[in-house]
Amino acid sequence: MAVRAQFENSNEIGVFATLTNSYSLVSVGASENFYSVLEAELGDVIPICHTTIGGTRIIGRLTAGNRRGLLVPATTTDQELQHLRNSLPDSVRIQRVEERLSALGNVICCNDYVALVHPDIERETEELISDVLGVEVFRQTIADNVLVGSYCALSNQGGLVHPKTSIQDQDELSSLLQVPLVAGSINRGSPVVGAGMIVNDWLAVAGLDTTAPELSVVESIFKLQDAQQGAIVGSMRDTLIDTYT
Amino acid sequence: MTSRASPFYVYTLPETLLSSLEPISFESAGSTSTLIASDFLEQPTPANLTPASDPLADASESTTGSGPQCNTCNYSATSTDEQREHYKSDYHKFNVKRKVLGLPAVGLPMFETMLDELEESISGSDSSDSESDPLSDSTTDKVSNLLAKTTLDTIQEHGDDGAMPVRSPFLIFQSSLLPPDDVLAIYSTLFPVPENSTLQDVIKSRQLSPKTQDASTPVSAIFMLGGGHFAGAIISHALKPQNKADPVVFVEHKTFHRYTTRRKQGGAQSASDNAHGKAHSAGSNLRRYNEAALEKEVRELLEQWKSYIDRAEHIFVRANGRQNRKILVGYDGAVIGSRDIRLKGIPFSTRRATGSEVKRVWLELTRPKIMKKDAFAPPKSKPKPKEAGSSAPSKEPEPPKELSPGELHTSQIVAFVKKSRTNPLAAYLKSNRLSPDFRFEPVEQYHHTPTALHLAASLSLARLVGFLVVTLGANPTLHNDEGRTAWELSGDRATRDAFRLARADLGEQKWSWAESGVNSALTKADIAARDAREKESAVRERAEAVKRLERSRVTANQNAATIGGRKLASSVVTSVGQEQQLLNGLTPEARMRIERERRARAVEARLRAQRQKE
Amino acid sequence: MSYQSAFGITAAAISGGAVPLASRNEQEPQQTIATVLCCNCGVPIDGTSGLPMCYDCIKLSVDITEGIQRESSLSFCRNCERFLRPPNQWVSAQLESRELLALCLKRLKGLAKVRLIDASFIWTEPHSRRIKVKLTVQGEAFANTIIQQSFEVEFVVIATQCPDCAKSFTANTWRATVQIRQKVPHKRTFFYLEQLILKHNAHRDTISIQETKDGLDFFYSQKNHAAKMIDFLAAVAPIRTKKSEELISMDTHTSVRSYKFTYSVELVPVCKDDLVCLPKKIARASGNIAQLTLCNRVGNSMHLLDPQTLDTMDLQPTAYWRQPFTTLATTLNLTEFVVLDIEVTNLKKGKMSLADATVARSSDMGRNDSTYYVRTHLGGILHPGDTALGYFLSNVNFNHELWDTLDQSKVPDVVLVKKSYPRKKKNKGRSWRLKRMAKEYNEMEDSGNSMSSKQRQIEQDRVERDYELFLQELEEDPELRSTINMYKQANSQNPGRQILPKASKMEGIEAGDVEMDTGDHKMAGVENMDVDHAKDSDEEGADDGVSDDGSYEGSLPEVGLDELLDEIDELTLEDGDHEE
Repeated sequence: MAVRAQFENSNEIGVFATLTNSYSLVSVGASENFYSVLEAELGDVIPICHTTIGGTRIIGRLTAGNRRGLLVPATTTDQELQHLRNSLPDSVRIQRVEERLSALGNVICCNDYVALVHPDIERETEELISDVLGVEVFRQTIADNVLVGSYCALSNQGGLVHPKTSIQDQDELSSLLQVPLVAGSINRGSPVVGAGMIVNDWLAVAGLDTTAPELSVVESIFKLQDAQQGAIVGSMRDTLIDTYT
Repeated sequence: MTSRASPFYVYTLPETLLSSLEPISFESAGSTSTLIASDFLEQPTPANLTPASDPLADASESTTGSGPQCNTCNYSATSTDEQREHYKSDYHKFNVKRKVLGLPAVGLPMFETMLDELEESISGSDSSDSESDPLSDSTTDKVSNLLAKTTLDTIQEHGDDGAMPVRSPFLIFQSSLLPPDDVLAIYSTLFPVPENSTLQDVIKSRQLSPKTQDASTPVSAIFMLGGGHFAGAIISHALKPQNKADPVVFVEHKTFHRYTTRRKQGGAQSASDNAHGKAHSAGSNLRRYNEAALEKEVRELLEQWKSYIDRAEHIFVRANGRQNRKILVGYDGAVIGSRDIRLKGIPFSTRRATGSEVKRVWLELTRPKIMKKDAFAPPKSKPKPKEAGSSAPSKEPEPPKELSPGELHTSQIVAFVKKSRTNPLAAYLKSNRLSPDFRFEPVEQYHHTPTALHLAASLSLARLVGFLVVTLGANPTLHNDEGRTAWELSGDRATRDAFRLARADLGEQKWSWAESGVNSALTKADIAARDAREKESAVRERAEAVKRLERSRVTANQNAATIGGRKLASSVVTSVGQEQQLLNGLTPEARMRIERERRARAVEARLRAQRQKE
Repeated sequence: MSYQSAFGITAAAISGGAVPLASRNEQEPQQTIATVLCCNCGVPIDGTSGLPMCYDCIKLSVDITEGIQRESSLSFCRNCERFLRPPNQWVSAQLESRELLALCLKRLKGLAKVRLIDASFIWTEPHSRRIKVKLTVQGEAFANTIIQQSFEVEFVVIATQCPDCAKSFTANTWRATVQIRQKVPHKRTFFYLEQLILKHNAHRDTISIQETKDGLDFFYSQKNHAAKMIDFLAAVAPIRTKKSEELISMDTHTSVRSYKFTYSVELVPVCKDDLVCLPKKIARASGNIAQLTLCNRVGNSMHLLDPQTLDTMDLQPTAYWRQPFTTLATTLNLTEFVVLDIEVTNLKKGKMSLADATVARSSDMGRNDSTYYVRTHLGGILHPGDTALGYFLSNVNFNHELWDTLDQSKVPDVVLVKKSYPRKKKNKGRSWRLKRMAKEYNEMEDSGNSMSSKQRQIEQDRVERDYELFLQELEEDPELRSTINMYKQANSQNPGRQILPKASKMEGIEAGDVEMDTGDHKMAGVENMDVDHAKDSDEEGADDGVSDDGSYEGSLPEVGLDELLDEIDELTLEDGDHEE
């Protein structure tokens, strides 16, 4: 299921929220509409935690996490950390990371098995990532951008990368990540797919500006379409696959 | 770029050299950078590594391969595990970082050699604590170190590329008097070429007549201003011939220093005022005052020197920044107009504005440099005819039209002699049916060394002398215009020995040796014996000297602090000073490298000492 | 999007060098591996170009001309046919000219954000008052995507009146006026003043000059210009000024007021050659001068002369206005006398020398033998047989209170004022001329008086007679001449020509001259007077013999050539001499 939403008039959903298979973080704010969209989709499945990170609301860009764990930057206050511990399931490990590149959401892009990280990330952080999130960590770039978290949206089903990513790079990355990848945009042509949407294995929330073709790409690559929709989008996907192989 | 200063001076170039100069132009010089890049990548690569020059094109090939591949390193693995292994390797990380920096990827062997080099060069500096570090950590450190180093290198390379012939500050000449690979480089700012004349004419017209040195001698002005230091000089184009060490003739010179730059923060006070508003500290007021005073003093000085400046042939100005420049040039009622065509920058980096720096600048500007040709020209476009002429002497080199055959032969023979190339010389003489005693032309130019033997002797080319006399049968009894024989011109003992050997070889009857002035015959055995003798005496002497030194040191220690202490200290200071001077002339990178070497040597010495103790 | 179709926007997208516009249809397959879908229409496109949309979508959805006005206005002055270049410059520009295009483009806001490629006019009917400009602009749509679009801008030409024209249509634009008045029956003072003003270019800032009864009005757009004029007048004439201001409007919020200022300037009503009777007090204060004096000269003070004793005094205007007095007799009252005998005494003062003369009225000649014994200051000038003008006091009755206080026994019978010269008839061919200022006649006053055409004719004649007298006075007085500018008569046949002794011979020719001459004024009165004079002198000449001819026919007033300026100077002056 892919839906469109807006967080307080901003389409960059991925900036204000984090979504994994076992929890979701949204930043506190006045966007009841956004909350209700998330509540409607996730409310009875996984916990939705309203929080700030280090007093800011850009939690999507500051945190990185998956089913197993959550990494928060060093700016996170103890209170916020405690709140997260209280809100999230006990199975989720929460770890504060002392990393110079503190916008962890921008420098880490991960699903439950594998993570791409900024090439300059510290070795300790790399170890923490693989430890806490239980993933294999690869230092990579996406379309020559070091901010892998910003330019890649990843789930266990598939991934959406920066539209400029070449076919070769897509092949390389998808062989590395072991999921299908497609290049695409979000929010009517925005290349910052990581910051423009949030995704887990059964739900993607994209900005309200996202066009129908973009959304259909999201649904197909993350395998989110329902059975009856799948038939329609399937044809579209076939053309896509035709073009990128 | 290898270059060395030639012994010449651009305003008094020897006639021969001057006439032999031919400008070289580099139309296709742009390819130099690619050359360097491919040099860098032309490493022996294993089969699975393809050169990284065009990743996209190569990638299309590698996609046809079966396994997953890494586009960054152009690495294709056979299995996913292998690929993942590769992604975790330092090599991959290094290449990823290079890619981020916009550098081409390096091959694995290259990476390893680079890593080795790095280890060598850093072993000296952190040998003491490297053992304590965990091994894993040091590798990443290495990667980042390596990266830092290569980035530096590349930037330097690129910097060199930028200064390559397209916008080279030099005018490049080849000359028959130079080795064919070498070129003569003269700073182009010295000889602005008007449209209707050629470069050679300009250079010739600027030559000074050797004897006259009066008020009419052209002068140039050099002004350097920066950081509150000012140095200015009006320099006569004539040199002091008697003083080789300090030949620059200052007509006028003056240096000032005013405290204007902000200590620690750097930058001029006025710049800071402009950027951040006026500071109201005592220091800032002082600096502001000093800036104004410096400006006033400099302008007064320029006014004083107006007569010189007006007739100066060049006005070299180094002033960092617009403000500094404004002090010197183009202000209201300026002596030097900002559009003055004589106004030039200094085409190399200079140090703090001091009198000696001005001197250095002038010498640097006016000493033509001898450079390797391939420093400028890409090898493909390198003109070959000279080389062909030397390696295959039977082929007649294309004669320059204005030279008579005698002069042509002369230039060829002189070239061979100077390079002491015996076989080509013999072949050339034979093919042109010239006698080994061929008199050089024009006579007046070669009055000192009219024959090849004279030339060889005066250049102290012992081997060539032997070859000429013994093999080619050159006549040692010939006199030059000053009535001297070749023997009398020979500069060192080796040459003289060559003559004496030849006398021994050819026998007393061949020439009237007495007339040639050659000393008594000498055989190789004699020379060997003499050498051995001398060596022995030298060793003895050195031992004595050491003994003397020790003795003096003992006495010095005895009358302790007063004389000896100072002497020792001063000697230390001078040696350090010399070394420092040596270092000063180098780029920071080169200096760093030398420092590193020195430290490494020190460590090695220490280790050796320790080992010996054990 | 409606306007795009309306204006026929054409758009072309050029990607950042990777795919040139022209070759985008025949791209080689390996170059254009479609990696992403167009976010708008879902068409597969090459993602590596960095474009988020396909070209068609970019064309459709991106409008780089956003923020550029589609309609604007130009101000146009219909009177002078100039366009307003903001903020306040009016430039003349032809329709469809480069200047107009520049003006139009300058009017458009938002053009700085895009790169202007082309601009041209689309023809419109001039009467439609619409100017259409077609613009082609390039701009960056996304990162390294340049889009070229063209569109039209319509300018409405709004007719406005430019300030210059507005000024020319508005009568009362003055802010200050200087009203110069002299309450005398003639205008000679003003003729002289006019010449002074012209010489010193004091009228430069005036916006208009009006002639009114008894004087002139000068109008100024600024108060300080008027003040300057006042200063000038004070330097050359004996005046009294009074300033008054009229409140035109006031802003009660800011207390900004606007006034009109009026300077009333009154000239002393005593002219040169007038006979005055000083109040006793003034006479005593000035060295006990005789009360009956002649006004010798008027500068910025009055110069009075007692012809009996050659005593002189300067009367400052301030002193005058403290105790003003009127003249006893003016030059109109002068009577001509013939000098019968003259005996010069030793008393001399400057050019004047006291003399005792026996004179007889010219009109008495041949009628009676009444002669008068006069003491005169003209001893140096007059000779027996000369004619002189003077006041004939013995049979005059002045209605003047100061006159009444005089001891009548001490009043001389005759006061000679100046020598008079025989004026030949039609003595019009002057070799010199004066410049005149352009003056408007005050219509309002005219309408108030509703003068008949005959009255006006009389008035005009009077003015012209005064002018002729003024010119004669100039001829006679070199001192006066030196203070003003005189110009060579351009169309004079022989500039150096003087009045000919036997002018009658030349009459025909001179009459022709006169007809050509527009610069001078001919009027019946003067001619008549001249005729009289000429007759008199002719008679006199005939009577007195030829010897007079030789001695002082030459002393007829001459104007030396070196005193005259070239006419060329005059051409540079805007106010020229538009005499009608």
